[in-house]
Amino acid sequence: MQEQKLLDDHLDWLEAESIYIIREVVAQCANPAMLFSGGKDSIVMFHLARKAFQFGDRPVRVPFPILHIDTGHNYPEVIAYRDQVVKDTGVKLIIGHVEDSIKKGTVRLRKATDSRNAAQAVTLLETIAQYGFDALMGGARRDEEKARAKERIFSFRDEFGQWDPKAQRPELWNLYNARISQGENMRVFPISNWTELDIWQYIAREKLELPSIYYTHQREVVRKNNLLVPVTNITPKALGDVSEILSVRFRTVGDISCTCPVLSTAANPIDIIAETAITDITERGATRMDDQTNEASMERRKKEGYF
Amino acid sequence: MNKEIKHPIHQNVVRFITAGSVDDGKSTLIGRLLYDTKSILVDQLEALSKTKHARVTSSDAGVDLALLTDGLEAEREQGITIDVAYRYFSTPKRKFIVVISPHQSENLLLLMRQAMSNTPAT
Repeated sequence: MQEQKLLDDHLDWLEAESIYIIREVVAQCANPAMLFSGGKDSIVMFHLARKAFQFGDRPVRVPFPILHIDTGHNYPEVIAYRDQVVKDTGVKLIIGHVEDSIKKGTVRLRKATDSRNAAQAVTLLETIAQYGFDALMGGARRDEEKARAKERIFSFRDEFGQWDPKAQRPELWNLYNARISQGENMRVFPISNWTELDIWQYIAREKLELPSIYYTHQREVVRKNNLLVPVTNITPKALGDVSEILSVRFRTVGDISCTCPVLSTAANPIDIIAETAITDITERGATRMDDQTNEASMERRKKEGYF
Repeated sequence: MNKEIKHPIHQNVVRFITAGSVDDGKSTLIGRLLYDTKSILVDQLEALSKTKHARVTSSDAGVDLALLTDGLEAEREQGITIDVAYRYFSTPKRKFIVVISPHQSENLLLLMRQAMSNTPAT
């Protein structure tokens, strides 16, 4: 019993901090939006947003739209989940399609099945310009990646969406500065201080539903460079690849072409908490093809406008 | 509720910060702390052993531990911490947030206060 009480206490602290940040964005910014991909971090963040604007028994109305940058390479479970959320909560959903940027010619891929993860930055910037958003909240966490560990909660981006890690604004106590000029924008990370374990403990505590691919299921995969690459129509088997059917789950969900599942038999959040506590590989290390190309690949993508 | 008013600081989240002069070993100290608390996962250590920026290597860890927290490309190249980094680890009882600061500059005092504002027993 004692153990359970202690766990709750640190989640309360994280929850309060995140709710404060989300309210601060709404108070300071004229036209904010929240990124929502249907992944576990954005599900937690959206849940926090609903808590932030829950007043008594009145129906909750989140005072900003949610925005999905759609690469077109999605797991159907995740899109179904996203649409269900929109139906259940009545929140306004805006979708920016990478496909549209490809048609316009602002995104060029070498071949049709190339990863569209980096291309998201282009579509994101186009969508920001189209709707005139001045602040975007994202579910990035500092424990995910070493460049993210360096970023402020309110991260200033210039008119090209670029992050300048050497000229970040000071961020004192809980005084956040969202002031920007025309064309610039703010990226805000309400769950910066959460770790993967915190997220799962919170999902368990709040009994949040997740897309089914976060839990164990049978999937056809190919072993490549210590990753289990799923066999899909976007990542088909190459000549000579040997596929296996394994029990896997996704630790992170993104563009199909760069996200891999991990071996697991965890069927609920409690099992996953137990697995996460003893894992010896980081979340992105086990699952992301796009972070493994270069030591500073995340930092470089951020400098180009990525989240 | 009453309890919260009396004790606004949550005992189960502890934030702490490094302070010191250039090349004192702030990042290395925290790297060592993370290494010894087994907060560094296998793939992170492997990435470190492959890095081209290592300056010194601790004999038993076999890697430059400062690079665990110096996450920016420029920091790794120059071997200094340019901006604050945040790292997390936890014990069964507490969650720890470590703030690794660059060496003394005008901003540092402000940053320290920021970090201290949520730290119990300071």
